[in-house]
Amino acid sequence: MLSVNHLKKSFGGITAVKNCSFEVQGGSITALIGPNGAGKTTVFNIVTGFMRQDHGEIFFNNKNIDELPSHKRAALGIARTFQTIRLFPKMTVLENLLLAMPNTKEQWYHAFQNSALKKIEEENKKVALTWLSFVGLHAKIDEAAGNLSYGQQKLLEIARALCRSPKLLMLDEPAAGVNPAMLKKIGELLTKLKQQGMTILFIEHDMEFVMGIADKIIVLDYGEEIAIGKPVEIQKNQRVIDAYLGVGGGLENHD
Amino acid sequence: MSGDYLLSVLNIALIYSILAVSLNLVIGFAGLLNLGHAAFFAIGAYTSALLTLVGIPFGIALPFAGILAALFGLLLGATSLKLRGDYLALATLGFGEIVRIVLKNWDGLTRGALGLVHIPRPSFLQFTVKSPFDYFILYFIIALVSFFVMKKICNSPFGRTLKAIRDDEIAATSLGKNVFRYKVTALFIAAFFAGIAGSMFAHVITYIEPNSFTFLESTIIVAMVVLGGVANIKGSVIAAFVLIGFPELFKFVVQVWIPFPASAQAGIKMLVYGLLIIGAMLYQPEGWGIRKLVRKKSEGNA
Repeated sequence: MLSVNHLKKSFGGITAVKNCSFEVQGGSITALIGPNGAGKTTVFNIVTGFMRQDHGEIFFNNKNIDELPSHKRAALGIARTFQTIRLFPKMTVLENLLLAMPNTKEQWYHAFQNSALKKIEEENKKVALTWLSFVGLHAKIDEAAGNLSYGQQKLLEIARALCRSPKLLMLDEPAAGVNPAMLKKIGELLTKLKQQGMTILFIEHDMEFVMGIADKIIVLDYGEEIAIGKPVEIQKNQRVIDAYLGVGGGLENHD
Repeated sequence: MSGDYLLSVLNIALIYSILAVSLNLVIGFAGLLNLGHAAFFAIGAYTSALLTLVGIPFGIALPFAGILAALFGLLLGATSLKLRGDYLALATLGFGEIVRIVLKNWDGLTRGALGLVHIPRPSFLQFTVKSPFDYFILYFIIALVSFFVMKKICNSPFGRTLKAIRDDEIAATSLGKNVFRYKVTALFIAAFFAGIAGSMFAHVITYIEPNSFTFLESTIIVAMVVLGGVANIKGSVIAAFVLIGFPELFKFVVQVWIPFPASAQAGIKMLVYGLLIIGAMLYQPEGWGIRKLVRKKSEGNA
Protein backbone atom coordinates (compact mmCIF):
# COMPACT_ATOMS: atom_id res chain seq x y z
CA MET A 1 0.00 0.00 0.00
CA LEU A 2 2.74 2.42 0.96
CA SER A 3 6.19 2.08 -0.45
CA VAL A 4 9.08 4.31 0.56
CA ASN A 5 12.22 4.07 -1.57
CA HIS A 6 15.64 5.41 -0.65
CA LEU A 7 14.39 8.40 1.25
CA LYS A 8 16.93 11.05 2.20
CA LYS A 9 16.47 14.31 4.07
CA SER A 10 19.05 16.67 5.57
CA PHE A 11 18.59 19.74 7.70
CA GLY A 12 21.66 21.84 7.09
CA GLY A 13 24.56 19.61 8.03
CA ILE A 14 22.46 17.04 9.86
CA THR A 15 21.17 14.08 7.93
CA ALA A 16 17.90 13.16 9.60
CA VAL A 17 16.97 10.45 7.13
CA LYS A 18 19.48 8.73 4.89
CA ASN A 19 18.51 6.01 2.50
CA CYS A 20 15.42 4.74 4.21
CA SER A 21 13.24 2.20 2.40
CA PHE A 22 10.31 0.15 3.58
CA GLU A 23 6.87 -1.04 2.64
CA VAL A 24 3.57 -1.12 4.42
CA GLN A 25 1.19 -3.91 3.42
CA GLY A 26 -2.52 -3.27 3.23
CA GLY A 27 -4.57 -4.50 6.19
CA SER A 28 -1.62 -4.82 8.53
CA ILE A 29 -0.16 -2.98 11.47
CA THR A 30 3.37 -1.73 10.94
CA ALA A 31 5.44 -0.12 13.65
CA LEU A 32 8.23 2.34 13.08
CA ILE A 33 10.63 2.27 16.00
CA GLY A 34 14.08 3.53 16.77
CA PRO A 35 16.04 5.55 19.30
CA ASN A 36 15.33 9.24 19.75
CA GLY A 37 16.46 11.25 16.77
CA ALA A 38 16.41 8.25 14.46
CA GLY A 39 14.27 10.17 11.96
CA LYS A 40 10.92 8.49 12.56
CA THR A 41 8.83 11.65 12.71
CA THR A 42 10.76 13.08 9.76
CA VAL A 43 9.76 10.03 7.73
CA PHE A 44 6.15 10.60 8.81
CA ASN A 45 6.32 14.25 7.82
CA ILE A 46 7.76 13.38 4.43
CA VAL A 47 5.18 10.69 3.73
CA THR A 48 2.32 13.04 4.66
CA GLY A 49 3.83 15.88 2.65
CA PHE A 50 4.67 18.29 5.45
CA MET A 51 8.30 18.07 4.36
CA ARG A 52 9.87 17.42 1.01
CA GLN A 53 12.56 14.75 0.76
CA ASP A 54 15.93 15.52 -0.83
CA HIS A 55 16.02 12.15 -2.57
CA GLY A 56 13.85 9.12 -2.90
CA GLU A 57 10.31 8.32 -3.86
CA ILE A 58 7.07 7.56 -2.13
CA PHE A 59 4.38 5.39 -3.69
CA PHE A 60 0.88 5.15 -2.32
CA ASN A 61 -1.22 2.42 -3.91
CA ASN A 62 1.38 2.24 -6.69
CA LYS A 63 1.03 5.92 -7.42
CA ASN A 64 3.97 8.27 -7.00
CA ILE A 65 2.86 11.00 -4.60
CA ASP A 66 6.10 12.99 -4.41
CA GLU A 67 4.65 16.02 -6.13
CA LEU A 68 1.39 16.12 -4.19
CA PRO A 69 0.94 18.76 -1.50
CA SER A 70 -0.10 17.67 1.96
CA HIS A 71 -3.81 18.24 1.66
CA LYS A 72 -3.98 16.21 -1.54
CA ARG A 73 -2.22 13.29 0.09
CA ALA A 74 -4.80 13.54 2.86
CA ALA A 75 -7.50 13.45 0.20
CA LEU A 76 -5.99 10.26 -1.22
CA GLY A 77 -6.67 8.59 2.10
CA ILE A 78 -3.62 9.15 4.26
CA ALA A 79 -4.68 10.32 7.71
CA ARG A 80 -2.31 11.08 10.54
CA THR A 81 -2.04 12.13 14.13
CA PHE A 82 0.77 14.14 15.67
CA GLN A 83 3.36 13.53 18.34
CA THR A 84 2.17 16.63 20.16
CA ILE A 85 -1.61 16.61 20.04
CA ARG A 86 -3.00 18.90 17.37
CA LEU A 87 -6.67 19.16 18.12
CA PHE A 88 -8.61 22.39 17.87
CA PRO A 89 -8.86 22.90 21.62
CA LYS A 90 -11.42 25.70 21.58
CA MET A 91 -13.81 23.79 19.39
CA THR A 92 -16.12 21.07 20.60
CA VAL A 93 -15.35 17.40 20.18
CA LEU A 94 -18.04 17.17 17.51
CA GLU A 95 -16.66 20.16 15.59
CA ASN A 96 -13.21 18.62 15.65
CA LEU A 97 -14.61 15.50 14.04
CA LEU A 98 -16.85 17.30 11.55
CA LEU A 99 -13.78 19.17 10.32
CA ALA A 100 -12.22 15.87 9.35
CA MET A 101 -15.06 14.57 7.21
CA PRO A 102 -14.04 14.01 3.61
CA ASN A 103 -17.59 14.60 2.46
CA THR A 104 -18.51 18.12 3.43
CA LYS A 105 -20.06 21.15 1.96
CA GLU A 106 -17.56 23.65 3.18
CA GLN A 107 -17.12 26.04 0.31
CA TRP A 108 -18.49 29.48 1.03
CA TYR A 109 -21.34 29.18 -1.47
CA HIS A 110 -22.53 26.03 0.25
CA ALA A 111 -23.52 28.28 3.14
CA PHE A 112 -26.73 29.11 1.29
CA GLN A 113 -27.76 25.57 0.41
CA ASN A 114 -29.68 25.14 3.63
CA SER A 115 -31.28 21.75 3.18
CA ALA A 116 -28.34 20.05 1.47
CA LEU A 117 -26.03 21.44 4.11
CA LYS A 118 -28.23 20.26 6.94
CA LYS A 119 -28.49 16.82 5.44
CA ILE A 120 -24.76 16.32 5.03
CA GLU A 121 -24.02 17.70 8.49
CA GLU A 122 -26.49 15.22 9.96
CA GLU A 123 -24.90 12.36 8.07
CA ASN A 124 -21.45 13.43 9.16
CA LYS A 125 -22.61 13.73 12.74
CA LYS A 126 -23.68 10.09 12.59
CA VAL A 127 -20.27 9.05 11.32
CA ALA A 128 -18.65 11.15 14.04
CA LEU A 129 -20.80 9.47 16.69
CA THR A 130 -19.85 6.04 15.41
CA TRP A 131 -16.15 6.75 15.79
CA LEU A 132 -16.67 8.54 19.08
CA SER A 133 -18.40 5.46 20.45
CA PHE A 134 -15.61 3.34 19.03
CA VAL A 135 -13.03 5.21 21.12
CA GLY A 136 -15.48 5.58 24.01
CA LEU A 137 -15.88 9.35 24.00
CA HIS A 138 -19.53 9.66 22.92
CA ALA A 139 -20.45 11.29 26.24
CA LYS A 140 -18.03 14.14 25.51
CA ILE A 141 -19.48 15.15 22.17
CA ASP A 142 -20.29 18.76 23.12
CA GLU A 143 -17.30 19.29 25.37
CA ALA A 144 -14.54 21.67 24.26
CA ALA A 145 -11.71 19.44 23.03
CA GLY A 146 -9.21 21.31 25.20
CA ASN A 147 -11.11 20.25 28.32
CA LEU A 148 -10.54 16.56 27.76
CA SER A 149 -7.84 14.72 29.64
CA TYR A 150 -4.58 13.99 27.85
CA GLY A 151 -5.48 10.41 27.14
CA GLN A 152 -8.93 11.37 25.90
CA GLN A 153 -7.36 13.93 23.59
CA LYS A 154 -5.13 11.20 22.17
CA LEU A 155 -8.22 9.09 21.53
CA LEU A 156 -10.05 12.01 20.00
CA GLU A 157 -7.18 12.68 17.64
CA ILE A 158 -7.32 9.06 16.51
CA ALA A 159 -11.10 9.31 16.10
CA ARG A 160 -10.63 12.47 14.07
CA ALA A 161 -8.17 10.71 11.76
CA LEU A 162 -10.64 7.84 11.42
CA CYS A 163 -13.40 10.24 10.41
CA ARG A 164 -11.46 10.82 7.22
CA SER A 165 -12.21 7.19 6.27
CA PRO A 166 -8.52 6.73 5.61
CA LYS A 167 -6.89 3.93 3.68
CA LEU A 168 -3.72 4.39 5.68
CA LEU A 169 -3.78 5.54 9.28
CA MET A 170 -0.49 6.99 10.49
CA LEU A 171 -0.15 7.50 14.24
CA ASP A 172 2.83 9.34 15.70
CA GLU A 173 3.26 7.94 19.22
CA PRO A 174 -0.38 7.13 19.93
CA ALA A 175 0.47 5.69 23.32
CA ALA A 176 3.07 8.18 24.56
CA GLY A 177 2.40 9.53 28.01
CA VAL A 178 -0.85 7.71 28.67
CA ASN A 179 -1.58 5.49 31.66
CA PRO A 180 -1.38 1.68 31.43
CA ALA A 181 -5.14 1.24 31.20
CA MET A 182 -5.35 3.70 28.33
CA LEU A 183 -2.33 2.05 26.71
CA LYS A 184 -4.12 -1.27 26.73
CA LYS A 185 -7.25 0.33 25.35
CA ILE A 186 -5.40 1.99 22.47
CA GLY A 187 -3.74 -1.32 21.64
CA GLU A 188 -7.12 -3.04 21.53
CA LEU A 189 -8.59 -0.29 19.36
CA LEU A 190 -5.79 -0.59 16.84
CA THR A 191 -6.15 -4.36 16.69
CA LYS A 192 -9.90 -3.97 16.19
CA LEU A 193 -9.26 -1.51 13.36
CA LYS A 194 -6.96 -3.99 11.70
CA GLN A 195 -9.66 -6.64 11.89
CA GLN A 196 -11.91 -4.21 10.06
CA GLY A 197 -9.32 -4.01 7.30
CA MET A 198 -7.53 -0.78 8.24
CA THR A 199 -3.86 -0.33 7.40
CA ILE A 200 -1.92 1.26 10.24
CA LEU A 201 1.59 2.64 10.44
CA PHE A 202 2.64 3.94 13.82
CA ILE A 203 5.63 5.28 15.72
CA GLU A 204 6.03 4.16 19.29
CA HIS A 205 8.63 3.80 22.01
CA ASP A 206 6.79 1.43 24.31
CA MET A 207 8.23 -1.94 23.23
CA GLU A 208 5.65 -4.06 24.98
CA PHE A 209 2.92 -2.15 23.18
CA VAL A 210 4.71 -2.45 19.84
CA MET A 211 5.47 -6.15 20.19
CA GLY A 212 1.89 -6.81 21.25
CA ILE A 213 0.11 -5.42 18.22
CA ALA A 214 2.52 -4.98 15.30
CA ASP A 215 2.63 -7.42 12.41
CA LYS A 216 5.82 -5.91 11.14
CA ILE A 217 8.41 -3.66 12.72
CA ILE A 218 10.75 -1.27 10.97
CA VAL A 219 13.71 -0.17 13.04
CA LEU A 220 15.34 3.13 12.18
CA ASP A 221 18.71 4.22 13.43
CA TYR A 222 20.49 7.34 12.26
CA GLY A 223 17.96 7.71 9.48
CA GLU A 224 18.45 4.27 8.03
CA GLU A 225 16.34 1.18 8.39
CA ILE A 226 18.57 -1.33 10.15
CA ALA A 227 16.02 -4.10 10.50
CA ILE A 228 12.61 -5.01 9.19
CA GLY A 229 10.70 -8.01 10.37
CA LYS A 230 8.21 -9.66 12.65
CA PRO A 231 8.35 -8.77 16.35
CA VAL A 232 10.10 -12.01 17.27
CA GLU A 233 12.78 -11.44 14.64
CA ILE A 234 13.36 -7.89 15.74
CA GLN A 235 13.72 -8.90 19.39
CA LYS A 236 16.62 -11.16 18.46
CA ASN A 237 18.28 -8.86 15.95
CA GLN A 238 21.78 -7.92 17.11
CA ARG A 239 21.89 -4.60 15.26
CA VAL A 240 18.66 -3.54 16.93
CA ILE A 241 19.96 -4.46 20.35
CA ASP A 242 23.15 -2.54 19.64
CA ALA A 243 21.24 0.49 18.45
CA TYR A 244 19.10 0.60 21.56
CA LEU A 245 21.65 -0.37 24.17
CA GLY A 246 24.87 0.73 22.50
CA VAL A 247 27.37 -1.65 20.92
CA GLY A 248 28.55 -4.22 23.42
CA GLY A 249 25.98 -3.04 25.90
CA GLY A 250 23.75 -6.10 25.58
CA LEU A 251 23.42 -8.28 28.61
CA GLU A 252 23.70 -11.47 26.60
CA ASN A 253 25.62 -12.41 23.49
CA HIS A 254 28.91 -10.92 24.54
CA ASP A 255 31.45 -11.88 21.88
CA MET B 1 -28.47 67.41 17.58
CA SER B 2 -30.81 67.53 14.68
CA GLY B 3 -32.37 64.34 13.37
CA ASP B 4 -30.69 64.68 10.01
CA TYR B 5 -27.30 64.99 11.60
CA LEU B 6 -27.89 61.91 13.68
CA LEU B 7 -29.00 60.00 10.59
CA SER B 8 -25.89 61.09 8.68
CA VAL B 9 -23.73 59.74 11.47
CA LEU B 10 -25.71 56.51 11.50
CA ASN B 11 -25.24 56.16 7.75
CA ILE B 12 -21.48 56.38 8.12
CA ALA B 13 -21.67 53.96 11.02
CA LEU B 14 -23.57 51.48 8.85
CA ILE B 15 -20.85 51.71 6.21
CA TYR B 16 -18.13 51.14 8.77
CA SER B 17 -19.96 48.26 10.35
CA ILE B 18 -19.92 46.48 6.97
CA LEU B 19 -16.19 47.22 6.78
CA ALA B 20 -15.61 45.94 10.29
CA VAL B 21 -17.58 42.74 9.80
CA SER B 22 -15.86 42.03 6.50
CA LEU B 23 -12.45 42.59 8.04
CA ASN B 24 -13.42 40.36 10.92
CA LEU B 25 -13.94 37.60 8.40
CA VAL B 26 -10.25 37.94 7.52
CA ILE B 27 -8.74 38.73 10.91
CA GLY B 28 -11.14 36.97 13.24
CA PHE B 29 -12.04 33.88 11.26
CA ALA B 30 -9.10 33.32 8.95
CA GLY B 31 -6.54 34.78 11.37
CA LEU B 32 -4.86 36.99 8.78
CA LEU B 33 -3.80 40.42 9.97
CA ASN B 34 -4.86 42.59 7.06
CA LEU B 35 -3.73 46.19 7.46
CA GLY B 36 -4.80 47.27 4.00
CA HIS B 37 -8.54 46.88 4.15
CA ALA B 38 -9.06 50.55 3.26
CA ALA B 39 -7.65 49.73 -0.18
CA PHE B 40 -10.70 47.61 -1.02
CA PHE B 41 -12.88 50.34 0.44
CA ALA B 42 -11.15 52.81 -1.89
CA ILE B 43 -11.40 50.57 -4.94
CA GLY B 44 -15.10 50.13 -4.32
CA ALA B 45 -15.63 53.85 -3.84
CA TYR B 46 -13.75 54.87 -6.97
CA THR B 47 -15.27 52.13 -9.11
CA SER B 48 -18.78 53.05 -8.13
CA ALA B 49 -18.14 56.79 -8.40
CA LEU B 50 -16.56 56.55 -11.85
CA LEU B 51 -19.26 54.26 -13.16
CA THR B 52 -22.11 56.46 -11.98
CA LEU B 53 -20.33 59.56 -13.25
CA VAL B 54 -20.56 58.14 -16.77
CA GLY B 55 -24.26 57.44 -16.27
CA ILE B 56 -24.42 53.88 -15.07
CA PRO B 57 -27.12 53.49 -12.40
CA PHE B 58 -26.22 52.91 -8.75
CA GLY B 59 -27.96 49.54 -8.77
CA ILE B 60 -25.35 48.24 -11.21
CA ALA B 61 -22.39 50.23 -9.92
CA LEU B 62 -22.82 48.90 -6.39
CA PRO B 63 -22.30 45.19 -7.12
CA PHE B 64 -19.65 46.07 -9.67
CA ALA B 65 -17.72 47.96 -6.98
CA GLY B 66 -17.86 44.85 -4.85
CA ILE B 67 -16.75 42.58 -7.66
CA LEU B 68 -13.77 44.71 -8.68
CA ALA B 69 -12.65 45.03 -5.05
CA ALA B 70 -13.01 41.26 -4.70
CA LEU B 71 -10.82 40.73 -7.76
CA PHE B 72 -8.17 42.87 -6.13
CA GLY B 73 -8.68 40.76 -3.03
CA LEU B 74 -7.84 37.72 -5.14
CA LEU B 75 -4.78 39.49 -6.51
CA LEU B 76 -3.52 40.44 -3.05
CA GLY B 77 -4.37 37.00 -1.71
CA ALA B 78 -2.69 35.07 -4.47
CA THR B 79 0.49 37.09 -4.14
CA SER B 80 0.78 37.54 -0.39
CA LEU B 81 -1.10 34.81 1.46
CA LYS B 82 1.85 32.45 1.45
CA LEU B 83 3.33 34.90 3.93
CA ARG B 84 2.64 34.61 7.60
CA GLY B 85 2.15 36.86 10.58
CA ASP B 86 4.08 40.09 10.52
CA TYR B 87 5.19 39.63 6.92
CA LEU B 88 1.63 39.31 5.74
CA ALA B 89 0.65 42.38 7.76
CA LEU B 90 3.41 44.34 6.06
CA ALA B 91 2.43 43.12 2.61
CA THR B 92 -1.19 44.16 3.13
CA LEU B 93 -0.07 47.50 4.52
CA GLY B 94 2.04 48.00 1.42
CA PHE B 95 -0.89 47.05 -0.78
CA GLY B 96 -3.06 49.66 0.93
CA GLU B 97 -0.48 52.35 0.28
CA ILE B 98 0.05 51.28 -3.33
CA VAL B 99 -3.65 51.55 -4.09
CA ARG B 100 -3.87 54.97 -2.48
CA ILE B 101 -0.81 56.25 -4.32
CA VAL B 102 -2.04 54.92 -7.65
CA LEU B 103 -5.36 56.66 -7.09
CA LYS B 104 -3.51 59.84 -6.25
CA ASN B 105 -1.34 59.78 -9.35
CA TRP B 106 -3.58 58.34 -12.02
CA ASP B 107 -4.82 61.82 -12.90
CA GLY B 108 -6.48 60.77 -16.14
CA LEU B 109 -8.87 58.43 -14.38
CA THR B 110 -9.19 59.63 -10.81
CA ARG B 111 -8.31 63.32 -11.12
CA GLY B 112 -5.56 62.62 -8.60
CA ALA B 113 -5.51 64.63 -5.43
CA LEU B 114 -8.41 66.75 -6.63
CA GLY B 115 -10.67 63.81 -6.07
CA LEU B 116 -13.99 63.03 -7.69
CA VAL B 117 -16.78 65.52 -7.15
CA HIS B 118 -20.51 65.54 -7.79
CA ILE B 119 -20.86 61.82 -7.48
CA PRO B 120 -24.51 61.14 -8.31
CA ARG B 121 -26.84 60.18 -5.53
CA PRO B 122 -28.34 56.70 -5.76
CA SER B 123 -31.48 56.63 -7.84
CA PHE B 124 -33.94 53.94 -8.77
CA LEU B 125 -36.18 54.60 -11.76
CA GLN B 126 -37.85 57.92 -10.89
CA PHE B 127 -36.82 58.01 -7.28
CA THR B 128 -33.58 59.63 -6.18
CA VAL B 129 -32.20 59.13 -2.70
CA LYS B 130 -31.70 62.58 -1.22
CA SER B 131 -32.38 63.09 2.47
CA PRO B 132 -30.36 61.40 5.20
CA PHE B 133 -33.51 59.45 6.02
CA ASP B 134 -33.72 58.05 2.47
CA TYR B 135 -30.09 57.09 2.71
CA PHE B 136 -30.63 55.49 6.05
CA ILE B 137 -33.42 53.28 4.74
CA LEU B 138 -31.37 52.23 1.69
CA TYR B 139 -28.12 51.69 3.57
CA PHE B 140 -29.84 49.93 6.41
CA ILE B 141 -31.21 47.41 3.93
CA ILE B 142 -27.84 46.95 2.19
CA ALA B 143 -26.11 46.56 5.55
CA LEU B 144 -28.66 44.04 6.79
CA VAL B 145 -28.29 41.94 3.66
CA SER B 146 -24.49 42.14 3.97
CA PHE B 147 -24.54 41.09 7.62
CA PHE B 148 -26.93 38.28 6.85
CA VAL B 149 -24.74 36.95 4.04
CA MET B 150 -21.50 37.26 6.00
CA LYS B 151 -22.98 35.74 9.12
CA LYS B 152 -24.36 32.86 7.14
CA ILE B 153 -20.95 32.26 5.57
CA CYS B 154 -19.16 32.52 8.91
CA ASN B 155 -21.53 30.13 10.66
CA SER B 156 -21.36 27.57 7.87
CA PRO B 157 -18.83 24.74 7.62
CA PHE B 158 -16.74 27.18 5.59
CA GLY B 159 -16.44 29.46 8.63
CA ARG B 160 -15.64 26.49 10.81
CA THR B 161 -12.85 25.48 8.48
CA LEU B 162 -11.48 29.03 8.48
CA LYS B 163 -11.36 28.96 12.27
CA ALA B 164 -9.61 25.62 12.17
CA ILE B 165 -7.01 27.05 9.82
CA ARG B 166 -6.61 30.06 12.09
CA ASP B 167 -6.05 27.85 15.12
CA ASP B 168 -3.76 25.26 13.57
CA GLU B 169 -2.77 25.28 9.92
CA ILE B 170 -0.86 22.03 10.13
CA ALA B 171 -3.75 20.13 11.67
CA ALA B 172 -6.14 21.63 9.12
CA THR B 173 -3.83 20.58 6.28
CA SER B 174 -3.63 17.06 7.67
CA LEU B 175 -7.43 16.97 7.44
CA GLY B 176 -7.25 17.65 3.72
CA LYS B 177 -7.91 21.39 3.78
CA ASN B 178 -6.29 23.49 1.10
CA VAL B 179 -5.25 26.20 3.52
CA PHE B 180 -4.05 28.68 0.93
CA ARG B 181 -7.26 28.47 -1.06
CA TYR B 182 -9.41 29.03 2.00
CA LYS B 183 -7.40 32.09 2.96
CA VAL B 184 -7.65 33.57 -0.51
CA THR B 185 -11.40 32.91 -0.54
CA ALA B 186 -11.82 34.64 2.81
CA LEU B 187 -9.98 37.69 1.52
CA PHE B 188 -12.02 37.59 -1.68
CA ILE B 189 -15.31 37.70 0.22
CA ALA B 190 -14.12 40.36 2.65
CA ALA B 191 -12.85 42.53 -0.21
CA PHE B 192 -16.21 42.22 -1.94
CA PHE B 193 -18.06 43.65 1.03
CA ALA B 194 -15.44 46.34 1.59
CA GLY B 195 -16.03 47.32 -2.03
CA ILE B 196 -19.77 47.51 -1.38
CA ALA B 197 -19.07 49.71 1.63
CA GLY B 198 -16.83 51.88 -0.56
CA SER B 199 -19.62 52.38 -3.05
CA MET B 200 -22.02 53.36 -0.26
CA PHE B 201 -19.45 55.80 1.08
CA ALA B 202 -18.90 57.46 -2.30
CA HIS B 203 -22.59 58.01 -2.88
CA VAL B 204 -23.44 59.39 0.52
CA ILE B 205 -20.46 61.78 0.77
CA THR B 206 -20.61 62.49 -3.01
CA TYR B 207 -16.97 63.52 -2.93
CA ILE B 208 -13.97 61.24 -2.61
CA GLU B 209 -10.24 61.81 -2.74
CA PRO B 210 -7.31 59.46 -2.21
CA ASN B 211 -6.72 60.76 1.28
CA SER B 212 -10.12 59.45 2.37
CA PHE B 213 -8.49 56.02 2.30
CA THR B 214 -5.23 56.27 4.19
CA PHE B 215 -3.58 53.73 6.42
CA LEU B 216 -5.41 55.43 9.27
CA GLU B 217 -8.72 54.19 7.85
CA SER B 218 -7.41 50.63 7.84
CA THR B 219 -6.27 51.06 11.42
CA ILE B 220 -9.67 52.29 12.52
CA ILE B 221 -11.33 49.26 10.95
CA VAL B 222 -8.82 46.99 12.66
CA ALA B 223 -9.63 48.78 15.92
CA MET B 224 -13.31 47.99 15.42
CA VAL B 225 -12.53 44.32 14.93
CA VAL B 226 -10.29 44.23 17.99
CA LEU B 227 -12.79 46.06 20.17
CA GLY B 228 -15.70 43.98 18.96
CA GLY B 229 -13.87 40.75 19.50
CA VAL B 230 -12.27 38.47 16.97
CA ALA B 231 -14.70 36.20 15.15
CA ASN B 232 -17.57 38.11 16.76
CA ILE B 233 -19.80 39.62 14.10
CA LYS B 234 -22.22 41.33 16.45
CA GLY B 235 -19.27 42.78 18.35
CA SER B 236 -17.84 44.28 15.17
CA VAL B 237 -21.13 46.00 14.38
CA ILE B 238 -21.41 47.43 17.89
CA ALA B 239 -17.78 48.54 17.87
CA ALA B 240 -18.26 50.27 14.51
CA PHE B 241 -21.23 52.21 15.83
CA VAL B 242 -19.37 53.15 19.00
CA LEU B 243 -16.19 54.22 17.25
CA ILE B 244 -18.08 56.27 14.68
CA GLY B 245 -20.71 57.62 17.02
CA PHE B 246 -18.57 58.33 20.02
CA PRO B 247 -16.30 60.98 18.48
CA GLU B 248 -19.36 62.77 17.10
CA LEU B 249 -20.85 62.88 20.55
CA PHE B 250 -17.48 63.85 21.90
CA LYS B 251 -17.33 66.76 19.49
CA PHE B 252 -20.27 68.35 21.21
CA VAL B 253 -18.90 67.74 24.65
CA VAL B 254 -15.64 69.28 23.58
CA GLN B 255 -17.35 72.28 22.08
CA VAL B 256 -19.51 72.89 25.11
CA TRP B 257 -17.33 71.89 28.03
CA ILE B 258 -13.69 71.92 27.09
CA PRO B 259 -12.09 74.92 25.44
CA PHE B 260 -10.15 72.99 22.80
CA PRO B 261 -9.73 74.71 19.48
CA ALA B 262 -11.72 73.05 16.69
CA SER B 263 -8.49 72.27 14.88
CA ALA B 264 -7.47 69.91 17.66
CA GLN B 265 -10.61 67.84 17.40
CA ALA B 266 -9.31 65.35 14.86
CA GLY B 267 -6.32 64.72 17.07
CA ILE B 268 -8.50 64.25 20.11
CA LYS B 269 -10.57 61.70 18.22
CA MET B 270 -7.51 59.60 17.53
CA LEU B 271 -6.39 60.04 21.11
CA VAL B 272 -9.67 58.62 22.33
CA TYR B 273 -9.42 55.74 19.86
CA GLY B 274 -5.98 54.98 21.15
CA LEU B 275 -7.12 55.02 24.76
CA LEU B 276 -10.10 52.82 23.95
CA ILE B 277 -7.92 50.25 22.22
CA ILE B 278 -5.35 50.20 25.00
CA GLY B 279 -8.16 49.89 27.53
CA ALA B 280 -9.75 47.08 25.56
CA MET B 281 -6.49 45.20 25.30
CA LEU B 282 -5.86 45.55 29.01
CA TYR B 283 -9.30 44.78 30.35
CA GLN B 284 -11.31 43.11 27.60
CA PRO B 285 -8.86 41.44 25.22
CA GLU B 286 -11.62 39.17 23.95
CA GLY B 287 -13.71 42.15 22.88
CA TRP B 288 -17.02 43.38 24.17
CA GLY B 289 -19.22 40.84 22.54
CA ILE B 290 -20.77 37.89 24.26
CA ARG B 291 -18.53 34.93 23.69
CA LYS B 292 -20.19 31.58 23.85
CA LEU B 293 -16.94 29.73 23.92
CA VAL B 294 -15.65 31.36 27.08
CA ARG B 295 -18.88 30.47 28.82
CA LYS B 296 -18.71 26.94 27.57
CA LYS B 297 -15.17 26.60 28.78
CA SER B 298 -15.85 27.89 32.27
CA GLU B 299 -18.86 25.59 32.54
CA GLY B 300 -16.65 22.73 31.50
CA ASN B 301 -14.13 23.55 34.16
CA ALA B 302 -16.70 23.92 36.90
